[in-house]
Amino acid sequence: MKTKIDILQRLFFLITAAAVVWGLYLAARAPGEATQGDAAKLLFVHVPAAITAYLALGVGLLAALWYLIRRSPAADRMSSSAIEVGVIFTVVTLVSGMIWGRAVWGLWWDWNDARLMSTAIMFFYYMGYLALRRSIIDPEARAGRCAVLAVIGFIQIPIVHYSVLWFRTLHQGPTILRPDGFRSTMDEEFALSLAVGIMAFVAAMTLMLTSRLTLSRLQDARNDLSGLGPPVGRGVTAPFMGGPTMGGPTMGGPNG
Amino acid sequence: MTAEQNGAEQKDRSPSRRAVLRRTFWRQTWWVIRKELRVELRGGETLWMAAPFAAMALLLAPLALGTDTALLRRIGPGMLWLVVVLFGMTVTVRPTSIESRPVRDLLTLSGLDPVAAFLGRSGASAALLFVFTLVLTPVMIVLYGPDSAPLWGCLLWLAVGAAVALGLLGTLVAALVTGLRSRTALAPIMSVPLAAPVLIAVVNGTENALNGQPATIWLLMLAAVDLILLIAGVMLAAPLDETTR
Repeated sequence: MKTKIDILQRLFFLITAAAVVWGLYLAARAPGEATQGDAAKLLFVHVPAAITAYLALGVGLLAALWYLIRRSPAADRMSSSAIEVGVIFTVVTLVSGMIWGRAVWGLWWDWNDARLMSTAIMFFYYMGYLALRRSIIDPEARAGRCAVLAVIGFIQIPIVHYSVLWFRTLHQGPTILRPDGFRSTMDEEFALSLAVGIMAFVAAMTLMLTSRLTLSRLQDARNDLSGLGPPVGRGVTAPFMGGPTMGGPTMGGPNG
Repeated sequence: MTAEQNGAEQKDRSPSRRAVLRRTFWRQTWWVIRKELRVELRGGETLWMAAPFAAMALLLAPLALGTDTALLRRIGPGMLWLVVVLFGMTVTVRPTSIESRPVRDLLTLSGLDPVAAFLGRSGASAALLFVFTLVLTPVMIVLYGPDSAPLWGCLLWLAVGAAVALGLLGTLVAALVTGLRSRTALAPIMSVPLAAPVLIAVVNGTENALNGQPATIWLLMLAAVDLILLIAGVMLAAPLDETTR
């Protein structure tokens, strides 16, 4: 029997799918840009992916701070899930940016480009976060250390965003999240395609985040359950001289 | 004694108590620095293992990049700092005198302030990295021969700024990987990306200083990075100490 949450999730999935299809349709229909031609259409993927990555990593930071204040396992799950999703969108940003760079600049990778370099550095940092997470078994130690790492790492987001203003390199300056406000200098048609693209990506991020959170919750519940038994399985508890056993049969001895 | 009298007495005593606490805090910090440096003096991990290995990297790099003298002159300062950043991380994540479980428990029971422990470790790491840089600089000058009339004072400040930043960063990351089997692989993955601003500032600053130009802007950038890392470290020292206990 389907619960209300299942129905809501399916509904949200349909809305996300519709937003993605609409975004793709608008991107395909949009005219080529005056100087970049059709390559500019890649920006309808690249820019929303970057904004969504910032958003996911921002959620990761807030949840990490929440964990450090409250020590709530739910906050840890939210932080790690958001950062995982953020890393995926960072990869999409990097790859789409490289393809666009090849088409417009004639280069896959420009070493002098501050935005490209800072994004790549940020990606490797969060890979380190994921590696640290995999290396620690104890849930509390893992949650605490990773929360600290998430807090330290967030300093990179403003560096990535403002790198194009601080270092005048090949990458163009911000078009949407400008320091002087949200004013955009784009044509209406481009702006609409981009807005729908951002909406679709944010919806996809939310969907991925909720799915990952459900998975994390189930993983934690399974670990909690398996934690109730003896650490090496019920059949291999040590021989015991008298007194109650830890649960399950022993391998011999007077009580076994 | 009434509550008012009690409060007045406490008020009278509080400044001196604060002074004592402050003195204790700095004494604890100094104690950790001395302890760390004494361990290094006995083991010689930085000067006898990391520094020769880093010097070997400086020696081998031209074999991979080409032995064109003009090219080597140009890349010398960059190579020096790259080696300091990469190999310096092995210095900062070395096992420390206060890392083992019984020692940590004992220090916690004795009231060692986590912030003092963090600052002490960072100070010791910064001092070691500074010496590490001083040892490698002549090696770079001899092997790569950058021809210039450098501003030595500026170079010195750059080395101090970079050593402080890397010391703070390395200590933060070392605390995160305390007790993990994969610490030597994990620590550089986490610390090197954050060391990128330090690398940019110190390489550009060194280039300026080697060409006799002031490197004020790069020194300011290093100071800003130092300050950010210091604030982050001081704020996160207590939660980090709690989670790694």
